[in-house]
Amino acid sequence: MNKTVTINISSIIFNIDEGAFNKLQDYLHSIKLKFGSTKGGEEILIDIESRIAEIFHEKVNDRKQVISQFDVDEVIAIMGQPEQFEDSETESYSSEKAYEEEAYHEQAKRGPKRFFRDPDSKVLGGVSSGTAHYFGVDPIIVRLLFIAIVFFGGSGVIIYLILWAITPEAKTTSDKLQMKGQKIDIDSIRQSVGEEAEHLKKKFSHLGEKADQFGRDVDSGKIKGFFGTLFNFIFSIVKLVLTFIGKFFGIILIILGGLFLISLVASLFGLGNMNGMSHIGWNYNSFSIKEMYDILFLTSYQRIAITIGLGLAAGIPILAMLYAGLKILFNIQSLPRSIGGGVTLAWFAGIVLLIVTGLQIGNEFSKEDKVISSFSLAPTVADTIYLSANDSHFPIDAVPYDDNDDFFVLKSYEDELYLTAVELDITENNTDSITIKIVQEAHGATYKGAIERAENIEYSYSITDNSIKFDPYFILRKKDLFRKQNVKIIVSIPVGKTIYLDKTSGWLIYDIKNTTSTRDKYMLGNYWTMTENGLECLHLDMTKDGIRSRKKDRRERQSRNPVVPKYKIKTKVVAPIIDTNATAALLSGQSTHKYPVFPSPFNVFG
Amino acid sequence: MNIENTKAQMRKGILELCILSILEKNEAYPSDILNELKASKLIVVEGTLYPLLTRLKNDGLLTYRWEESNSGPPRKYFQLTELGKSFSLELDSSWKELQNAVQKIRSKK
Repeated sequence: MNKTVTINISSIIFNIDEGAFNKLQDYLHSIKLKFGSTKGGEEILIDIESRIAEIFHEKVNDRKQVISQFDVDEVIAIMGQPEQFEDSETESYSSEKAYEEEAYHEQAKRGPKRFFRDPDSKVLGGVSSGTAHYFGVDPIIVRLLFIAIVFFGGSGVIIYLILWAITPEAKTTSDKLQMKGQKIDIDSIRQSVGEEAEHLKKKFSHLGEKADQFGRDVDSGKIKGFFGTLFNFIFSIVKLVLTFIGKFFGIILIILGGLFLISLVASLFGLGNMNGMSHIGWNYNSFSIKEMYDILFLTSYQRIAITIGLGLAAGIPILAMLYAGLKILFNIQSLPRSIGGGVTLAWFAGIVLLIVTGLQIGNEFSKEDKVISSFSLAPTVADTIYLSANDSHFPIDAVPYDDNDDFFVLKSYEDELYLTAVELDITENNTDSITIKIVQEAHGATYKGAIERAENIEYSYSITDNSIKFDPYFILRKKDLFRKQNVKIIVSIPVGKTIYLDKTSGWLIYDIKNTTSTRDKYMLGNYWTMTENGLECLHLDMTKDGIRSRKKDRRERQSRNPVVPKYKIKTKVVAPIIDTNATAALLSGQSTHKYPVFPSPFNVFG
Repeated sequence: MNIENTKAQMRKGILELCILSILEKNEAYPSDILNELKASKLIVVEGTLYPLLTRLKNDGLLTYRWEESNSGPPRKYFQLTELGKSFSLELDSSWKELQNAVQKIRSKK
């Protein structure tokens, strides 16, 4: 059983199968598309329809009353597709024009693509899958790219949120088809856009009429225009607010884009500083981005490649943001699609450049080697040893934090860098003596390079009787380049010996195992004894909170003294002199530091 | 190079001449013209004819009159105008020139 439709072609009535009807309609639309805009196009269409009517008329008789799909197929075969029409004038193209035409038809087949968010395969808002549909790539790629550009100042997050906010979700089937760029139907090419606009226009004018009507009704009514005026007033306010929000959004885009652009340019060209320790409140600004480049890159080619790669990968989204902002604000014309495609390509090229160069640099870090030096303290040493860090290069109020996983540049001289990548662990020793093992590690493209770098690490400590003072930093020679050099210290103590962790050793210790699973920062200021089961504290005092939270520390510092002037720090740096008095002081709990005494919070004994 | 495309290009040029020649004999409606063109394999799809007829008509080479039909919709009977007749003559001489030219070149082989 098939549904039939009654149609009228050239004033003759036919009953036609529904499928056949759709097919015929598509066919006539395709002819209309080809000739609709040319001179006499309407007439051509009428003539062709009339011929179709004639053919159909021959097909039907008393026994066969319905036009079937087969009949329509036959008619189309006789008449030919519009592309097959051999008209000397309309189709005497140069090959170039024919190519364009072909591209146009290709586009027509796929239908105009529109950018929608895809609710069917979304992770967050469906922006990535929508983008993927638009460019015809796998959503995974787009998601990875979004994640990748999060690392460029978080711009990924912002771009994502903007796209989320401004892109409509594909709700209807037609939306989804448009999103995927599938053929909707043959007349979608010109009509969909035009009709949509027309439809909206009508709707709005209709609304306007209604509003006017309403206003007039009220005007002439009993309420004497009060509500009419009110309605108009509210309407214009809403319109104003919406416009304002739109413009405001544009302004925000421009401001953000501008800021990102400035910071990108600054970092690309090595302007500005790495505020290495700014996160702990110390604005030590002597290590610049340029220096970082100098110690990271092997060749100037890598540096250029990274600069270009970063410029494209981060710069293009930023410029796009600026452009979007300008577009919202000033209604400037859209860029042609081809430019958009080129820019997208350039962006991908930037990403590829970054990945390739990144892999090259990664290779420079591929081999790891280490130099180990170890020694034992005399067995006659006292049962308790005191462990502290040489904090002489630290600013007055720098505080070690609970996690000693911070890795930053403490100081930068012409050819030396002071890096804080020093970690200390305490383990049990099976012999009677206390052993200290110092492991200097480095990476390189070859093991030879790695071991040379490891040997070139300058690290020092001092031992006085039963007190050990380690540098919480090591010196890296800049010509060695930065290849993840680091120092690990392992202090092994036999069962029965006790170790006291000075507050300053917070710069050193990292995740030391103990029987009570006490965290590093609470281990400070306490005596720890090695037992069969591991390190144990007999009188754990967590109230000696010399190590404070960052927030608390910042708050306190701000209230006391907002910024520590730089010159003060520089003048106060004096090499530490360890003497027995200091050790004695540590023992007796009195402060007799010979080297500059830092006020709180370091000076916990004072 | 697509051979079908070349063939189509060749046909295109002479299609107008053929339509005018058919109409020179007597007036005809599209299906008559189509039958004759199809018989000489000058046309592949019927759709080609309609835009061509409309264009020739709009250029003043053809006129038409309506005639009721017993089977199907009313028919458009086309005939040549004076302009069409002189146009047809000119095309005819041009066709003969081409014919000669082609023959000349081919006979030199």
